[in-house]
Amino acid sequence: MKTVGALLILSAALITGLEGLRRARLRENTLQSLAASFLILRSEISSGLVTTEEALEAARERSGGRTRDFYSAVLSGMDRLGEKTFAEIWTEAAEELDAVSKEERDAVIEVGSGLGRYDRETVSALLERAESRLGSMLELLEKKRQKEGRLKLILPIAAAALFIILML
Amino acid sequence: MERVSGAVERFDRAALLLPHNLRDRARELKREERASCEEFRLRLGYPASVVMPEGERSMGGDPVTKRELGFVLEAATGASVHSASSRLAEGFITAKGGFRVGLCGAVGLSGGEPGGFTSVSSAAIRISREHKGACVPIIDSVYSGGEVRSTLIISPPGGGKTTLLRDLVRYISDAAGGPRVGLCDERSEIAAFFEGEPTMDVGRRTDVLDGCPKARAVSMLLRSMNPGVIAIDEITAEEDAEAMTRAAHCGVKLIATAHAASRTELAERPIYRALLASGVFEELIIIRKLGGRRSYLREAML
Repeated sequence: MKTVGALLILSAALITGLEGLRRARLRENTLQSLAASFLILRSEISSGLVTTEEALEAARERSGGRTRDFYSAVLSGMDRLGEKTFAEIWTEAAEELDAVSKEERDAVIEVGSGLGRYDRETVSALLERAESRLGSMLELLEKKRQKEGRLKLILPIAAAALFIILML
Repeated sequence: MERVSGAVERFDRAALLLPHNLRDRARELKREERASCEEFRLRLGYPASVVMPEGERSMGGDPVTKRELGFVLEAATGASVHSASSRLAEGFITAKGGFRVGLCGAVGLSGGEPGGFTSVSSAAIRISREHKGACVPIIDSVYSGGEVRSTLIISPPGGGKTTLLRDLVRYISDAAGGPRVGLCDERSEIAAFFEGEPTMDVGRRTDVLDGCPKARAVSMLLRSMNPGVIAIDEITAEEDAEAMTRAAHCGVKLIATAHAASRTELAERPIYRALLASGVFEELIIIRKLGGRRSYLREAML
C-alpha cells in the first residue's frame, strides 16, 4: 500500500514537472510565432496595397497554435469595427493569449494601438519594434530554460522523494 | 415610400462611420430628415452638423474631438490607413458602402507633394444614394432606338449630377443591345469602389477605371476596352476636355457632368467654351433644384 502511495506521489511530481516544462515550451513557441507573425504583417503592410484585414488573414494562415487563435479572434472582431475601435478588438483578442506573461501580452497589445491607424512607415516601425521586443523576451526565456529547465523537472521529483522518505 | 426607406437605410449605413455618441444623435433625427440628409460634417472643437437640402445645421452636443475624428478615419479605411494613403493624399477616401469621406487638416509634404494628413481637423461624410430610375425623365434625350447622344449634364454643386450620371450609365449599359460603357471614376463616386469592388450598380456592360486621372483614363479605356460610350464625372481640367474631344473623334459617344448653373455660365469658362465649340456634345441637360425637388431642362447643342 505504501509503495503504491509512494508511486502515486512520485507520478504526480513527475507530471507537475513535465507540465511546467510543457508550459515553458508553449510560452516560447507562442512568443516565437507571434514575433514571426509580426514579420508577416510588416512585409504585407509595407507594400501599401494590402488592407489590415488581408494582412491579418495572411498572418493567421501562416501561424499555428495560440497565435493562429489570436488572429482568428481579431479577424472575427473586425465585423464589429465601427462599434469598437481596432485597438479594442486587438486588445480583447490579446487578453485571451494565456500562454504568455503579462509583460509579453502588453508588447502585443501595444501593436494594436497603431496598426491600421498610421501610414505604412509608422506601422512598419511599430511592428519591427514589437518584433524585436518579443525577440529579446524569447532570448531571455531560452536562457532561463537552459539554466533552470532540468531543475523544473527534478525539483518536484526530489521534493516528492523527500516527502516519501519522511513519511515512511 | 420604398425610395424613402432606401434613403433612410443609406443614412443609417453612413452613420456607422460616426463615433457612438454622434451616431446616436444622428439616429434621433426624424425619418424624413434622415431620408434627405446629404452629409455629416465634423469639425474639431465644434458640434457635428448635418447638411440638409436647405443648408447645414448643427446636431448639437459636445464639440468634436481629435479622438472622434480618428475614429471616423479608422472606420472609413477599415483600420487600413496605410493602404488608403494615396487617396488620403488627394484629400478623400471612399468608405465601405461607397460613402466618400473628405478630410482636412495638417498636410504632410513628401517630395513637395501632399503626402497625406499628419492630423485631421475636419471630415465630411457624403451620403451618396443610388437612385435607380433617376434618369427616366431624360432618358429619351440621351438614349433612344439603341443610339446614344453625347450629353453634358450641368448643375450647381449638390444638384444630383453624379446620381443622374450613375443611373444613365446603368440604364444604357443594361439596355438590351446597348453599347459597352467605359466609366472614368477618378474620385470613386460613381461606382464607389471599396477595396477593389464596385458598391454601386453601374450596369453589366460597364468597365470602370477607378481612381485614375480622367484624361489618362479616357486614353486607357479607348486602347483597352473599345467602349461605345465613355462617361466622366466633373470635367475640371483642360486635359480632360482634350481627352474627351479625342475620344469623340474616335467615334465614341460621351456622357459627362460639369459644375455650372446654365449654358451661359458654362460658356464663360475657357475649358468648357472650347469643349462646347468643338461640338462633341449633342445634348445639354440642366438640373434645377427647387424646394428639394429636381427638374430637368433639355437643350440641343448642335
